[in-house]
Amino acid sequence: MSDKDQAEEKLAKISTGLIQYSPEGLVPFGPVHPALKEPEYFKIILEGEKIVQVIPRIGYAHRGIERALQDRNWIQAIYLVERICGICSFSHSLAFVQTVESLTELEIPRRARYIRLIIAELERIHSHLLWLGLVGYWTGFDTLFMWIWRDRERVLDLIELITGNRVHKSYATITGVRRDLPENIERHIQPAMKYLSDRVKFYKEIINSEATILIRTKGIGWVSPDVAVRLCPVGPLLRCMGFKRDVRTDDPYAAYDEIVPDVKTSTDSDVHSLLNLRLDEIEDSIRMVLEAITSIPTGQVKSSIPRAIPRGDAMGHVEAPRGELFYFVRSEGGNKPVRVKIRTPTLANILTATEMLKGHTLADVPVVLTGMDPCFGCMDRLTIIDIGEGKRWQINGEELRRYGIEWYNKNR
Amino acid sequence: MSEDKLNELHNLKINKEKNKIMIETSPADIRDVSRFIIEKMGVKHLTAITGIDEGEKICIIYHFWSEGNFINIVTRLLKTELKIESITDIVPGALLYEAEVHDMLGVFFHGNPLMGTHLLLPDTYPEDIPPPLRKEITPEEIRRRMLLE
Repeated sequence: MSDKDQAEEKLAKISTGLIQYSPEGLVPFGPVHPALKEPEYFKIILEGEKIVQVIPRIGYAHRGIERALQDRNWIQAIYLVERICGICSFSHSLAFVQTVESLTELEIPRRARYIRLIIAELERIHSHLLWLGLVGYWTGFDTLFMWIWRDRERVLDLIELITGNRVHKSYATITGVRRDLPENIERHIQPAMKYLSDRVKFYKEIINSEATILIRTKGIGWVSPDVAVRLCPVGPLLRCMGFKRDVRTDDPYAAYDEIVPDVKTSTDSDVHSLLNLRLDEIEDSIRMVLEAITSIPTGQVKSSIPRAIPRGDAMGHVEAPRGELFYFVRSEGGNKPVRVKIRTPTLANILTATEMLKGHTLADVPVVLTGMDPCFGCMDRLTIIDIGEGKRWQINGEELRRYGIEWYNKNR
Repeated sequence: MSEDKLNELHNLKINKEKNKIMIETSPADIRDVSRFIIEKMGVKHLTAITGIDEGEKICIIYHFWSEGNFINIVTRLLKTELKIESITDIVPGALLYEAEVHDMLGVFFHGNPLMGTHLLLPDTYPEDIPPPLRKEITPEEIRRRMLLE
């Protein structure tokens, strides 16, 4: 049997079926970075330059929060779930409090629902900008990265002004939000939104004309929608395949029934369409924030918070910047949850991202994996097995980034 | 949501309130019920799978989402027989969710290729202690054992 046959046989063993895992398991390298929330480990199997199989291994940042929530009361739990993610911290606390509220008969004041919308949309803008900057970074377009992260500061400043914190906002609470908006906040929001909307137009022009971005993203990460939808992806990844699904319109929460989002879709299902889609979403978020701040009703922002929550099972979800964020809460009538189950959007998207990588080159790995908008700790370590040459080596994120940029310099 | 189609599911406890539908079924029927939901009712999206330790039994809830409703299949397994058929061939997206329940509660899903491996737990998790979300073990005990080894 020639080497090639052996390699093929090995490959067939590993990659038959939709997703097949090698039985021997993987050696963990501990790609935990204190600054990132979801480190992951991908075992990538190559044939020459081509990726034939991707095997993810997650759990490096698993802290047992679901178990810890069972020992905390309802109010303490809000602040713990917020710490799951630094980028979409408000989405987590919002999803949790909404799920808990659905167990009670509590009425949420209309002003609080509007404020929730404003913060959720500001968070979406900052998360999408952060992601867009990272695409610039991974494609070797560092200027774009610096520009965008500077603009993102404007949104963080607004969030700090309203909630008091840039990252962990501690703003949502059961029955509403913890504090009212500061006086004359629209004087700060309106110029910032005007500035951002001009910048977004400028970035749209760049990503549709700049050669580096076009080469590195157009047609990269294409996946057949029929295959991918069976893997149950969520958020922009699903919408870029042409499925018009968004929790904000499918199951309106906060004030989304009054200020209706314009859900954008694309049919290209590649990384370039994700860029355009997320920029469109930023524009729509800017519109919604401005609309909400002009039409916000007056009144209370919260009512008295009950100590105990009635018995029952509740499910709730919100559209976090990365997609549907799901919470399940079981209460037995006490002052603590009996079980809280959290399903984050990245967990739902990992399988689709591995499918997106197949058939592309190793140089595309950073861009495609960033395309699904994980927290990019997943890039910390990779094991690469080259089936043709039987080599096995490990590289870290920075080396892979350089490899990608150099590969494109040489080959395109 | 077509209620008529739901009524085709015989001998099942179906409970609908607000935007959630709870379908209680025995573990043996889980594949038939989920196939019915996917094929006959046109539900495409599996949101999550939750496992709950209820003392003597482990409750598994499959949360599907369709047109404004959570459709939940609820099934309960005795702790002495924690085995159930996998639905990964019906819904490929269930792969990681089933593996998570396996990792956290020790339920074995027949047909899921990830069984026997860890998804979220470290590979050094001691084999002779129960999975972390089970009531038989406390976080303190897990910490003590993990530090010892």
